[in-house]
Amino acid sequence: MLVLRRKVGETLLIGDDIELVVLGVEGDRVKLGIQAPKEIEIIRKELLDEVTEENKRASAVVPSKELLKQLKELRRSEDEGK
Amino acid sequence: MRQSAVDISDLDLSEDEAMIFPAGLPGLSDYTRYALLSDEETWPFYHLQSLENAQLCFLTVDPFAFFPDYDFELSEAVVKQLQLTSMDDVWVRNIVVVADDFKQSTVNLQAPLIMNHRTRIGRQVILNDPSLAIKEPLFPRVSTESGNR
Repeated sequence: MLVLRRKVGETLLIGDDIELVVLGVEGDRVKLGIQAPKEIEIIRKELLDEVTEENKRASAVVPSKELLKQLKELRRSEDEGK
Repeated sequence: MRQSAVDISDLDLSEDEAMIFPAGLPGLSDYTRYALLSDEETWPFYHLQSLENAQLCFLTVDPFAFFPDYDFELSEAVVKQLQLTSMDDVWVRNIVVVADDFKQSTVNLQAPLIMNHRTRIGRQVILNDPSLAIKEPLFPRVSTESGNR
């Protein structure tokens, strides 16, 4: 991993069209500004990790026909209660 | 021993009915070909069945049947990648986690499956919208009552 030291206000260039600027530091939090083309997607890694975990949980339960019927029934009763 | 919900050898799918997730789903990048299965009996629930692994199947829902106000914006990157030209191209489904007590089941509204049913390309999009939950209760009335009435 490349490790660099930067001061507040200094910028890094990644490739030709991504700019990463350190906007500020408050305690253990770093505020970053990122300028990148619209097709570059930027998300927090922990969000991806959470979705990954949730997908694994979801695929661990095989939804049987019987269960589906119960879920459908429940949805209907919720709708009627509205 | 796990039983699959659907026997894939029974599925009579022509190649153009498969839904391709080029990058797979987060955590399951090995599998890219799925079938979105439904019949009137199970609506608004749909199985998303892997065509490469008979044991891999998700329960998904049409979110608008549960959450009519569900709303989000797709980035230009997603629109381009899925070759979306109009809203009519889009199918939206969300993955359900079925709880042991199925009344407590949740749905992932933060990361919908966005599919272009014209080009048969799909992707699980992480919306990065703090107002949307990864674990939204599917049956909020029943799950909060917890049986007291």
